[in-house]
Formats: sequence, C-alpha cells, structure tokens
Amino acid sequence: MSGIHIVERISTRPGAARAMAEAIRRDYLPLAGERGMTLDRILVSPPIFDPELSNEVTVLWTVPDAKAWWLMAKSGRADTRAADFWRSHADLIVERHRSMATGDEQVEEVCNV
Amino acid sequence: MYKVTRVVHYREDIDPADRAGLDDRVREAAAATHPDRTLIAPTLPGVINGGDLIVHLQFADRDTWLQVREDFDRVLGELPTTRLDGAEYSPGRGGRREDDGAQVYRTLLLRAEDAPAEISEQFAADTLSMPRYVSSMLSWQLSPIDRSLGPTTWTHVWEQEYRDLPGLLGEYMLHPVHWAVVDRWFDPEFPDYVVRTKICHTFCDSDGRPVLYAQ
Repeated sequence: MSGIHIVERISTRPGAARAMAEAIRRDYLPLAGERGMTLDRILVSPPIFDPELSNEVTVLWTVPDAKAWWLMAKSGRADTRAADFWRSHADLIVERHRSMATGDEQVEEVCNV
Repeated sequence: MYKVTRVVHYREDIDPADRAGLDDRVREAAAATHPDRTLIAPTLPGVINGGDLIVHLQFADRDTWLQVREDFDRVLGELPTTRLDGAEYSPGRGGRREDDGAQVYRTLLLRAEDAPAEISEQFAADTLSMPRYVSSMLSWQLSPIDRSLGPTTWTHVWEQEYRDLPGLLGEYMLHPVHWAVVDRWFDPEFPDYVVRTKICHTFCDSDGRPVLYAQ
C-alpha cells in the first residue's frame, strides 16, 4: 500500500493481546479516523491468545502523504484523546514503539521534496 | 557572541497600519543598545504561536547586553502587546553551507522537559541531523537558553536560515527526516517525547545579510 505508514509495535503483558487489539479497534480507531488515518491491519505475534503468553501487537496505519501526516500530527497536539488512550491502557503494555515508514519503492520519492 | 531574541505579540485590536510605527519604536530602542547585528522584521503568514514581530540582536558578550537590557525591555514593555516571548543565549552547536543567499530567518523557541542525558543528547543529535538532508537550510544552530521571557520557560532555541520560503515550508516540513525522525520528540503519542509545551515557531524575511554566522 502506498502512503506513509504509522507503525505501532506493542509488547503486551501476558494474556493482554486480545484486549489491546479490541481496545484499538473500539476506542482508538474512531479517533484515528477523525485524523485521516486508515487502519491497514493489526498483526498479532505469535498468533495465539493465551493468558500466560506475551505477544507483540503491530498496528499499521496509513495516511496518504506528508501533508496528510502533518494534519494528523497537528490534530494530535491539539486533541489529547489519542495520548490519553495510551495512558489509560498502560496496564496492558510492557513496551511500545512508534515509527514512521514507507514502502522501499517510495523512499526516493518521499525524500525528493 | 551573545544573542537576544524577542517575539512581540501585538494586541489584536491594534490596527495593522499602526504596527509599522510600533515596529519603528522597537528599531529605535534596538539601535540605542548598539548591537553588533540586528534583524527586526514582521513575521510571515504560517507562524504558529509566532507573534507579529521578530527582534533578534547580537552583542559581543553577555555583559554588554546586560548593560542595556533594562532600557530595551522597558520600551518593549510599553508596547500594546498580549505578551512577549524571548530568549537570551550563547550560540550553541550548528553549522552553515558556503551559501550566503538566505532570504528567510526562522527561529523555534521550545521547552524540553528534563530527561535522562542520553535522551536529551539524542534529541539534539536528531535535530542537528536535519541539514544533512534539507539542502535549503543554509545555516542552523541549536542553543540552550540562559534566560527565558514569556509565559513558557523556554529551554532551547533552534534557528535556521533558508534560501527561500519554500525551503522552509516545503523541503524542511515535508522531508522524512522531519516527520519520521525529529517530530517524535514533539509528539505526545511517542513514549519518550520531550517537548510537551506549545512551541513558538516563527519566521520572517531576512535582510540579505547572514544572521547566524554574521561575524
């Protein structure tokens, strides 16, 4: 998929992966939609829900381009609901990492500004 | 060298036609301080929390500035403003290209929260990596602030000069080094973000002479 990917990698506490994914779809997805973000997919690794198992949940969002990315980012500064979402679900999370990426075929294009 | 920046936020009820006269009062007050370098110019459309007038002065050293500070700030204090933002600082880390054709001066006042040393250093390193990728940035400097003015206690000033306005609003803003590397420090959704207070992002036309490395 083209565009800019917002990649959220979440190491969940044992048994918390399903709740994390459900919370993202239920509570974060509407906020993301307001900011122009499209949910590509939520990946769960390993793909097993087990109360004793920690998972890595990877959430892939997309925005069309850098201008759309800035609109998304600036709305997140003014509206704290997204940041509040992560704080309110801290009990499900061991570690979280957020990064921005594009497909390899787009790197030259996005750097050519 | 010692550097002084003031960002003047005029009251909204001040007629734009009257601002030129107010700006001239600032210029007269600045001239009376006998700085080595002066740039005073109205801000351009697109600033964020960036006020109406940028005042940037450079002195030989801090003591020289301190001898005139009270008189200068008294004049600014008499202006019809909603607030003044400001910074006083020695030049920090930075660099320049062999190109003196800058037309735009930009300064960013920011407040970085206390963080472990490695986090603060990574923030500075990421910021200072930008000119490697943004060719329109002709000079740059990241400086810690000695004394802040205004409702926010600013900790750093990130100054740059650009070849032209598209260099700032286009290349600088849209290159992935900005949105994929540096902006995480400003984004409340990043676990390690350090700039948690609204920034003062402001810019103006330059006067055709170098600002950051004027001497």
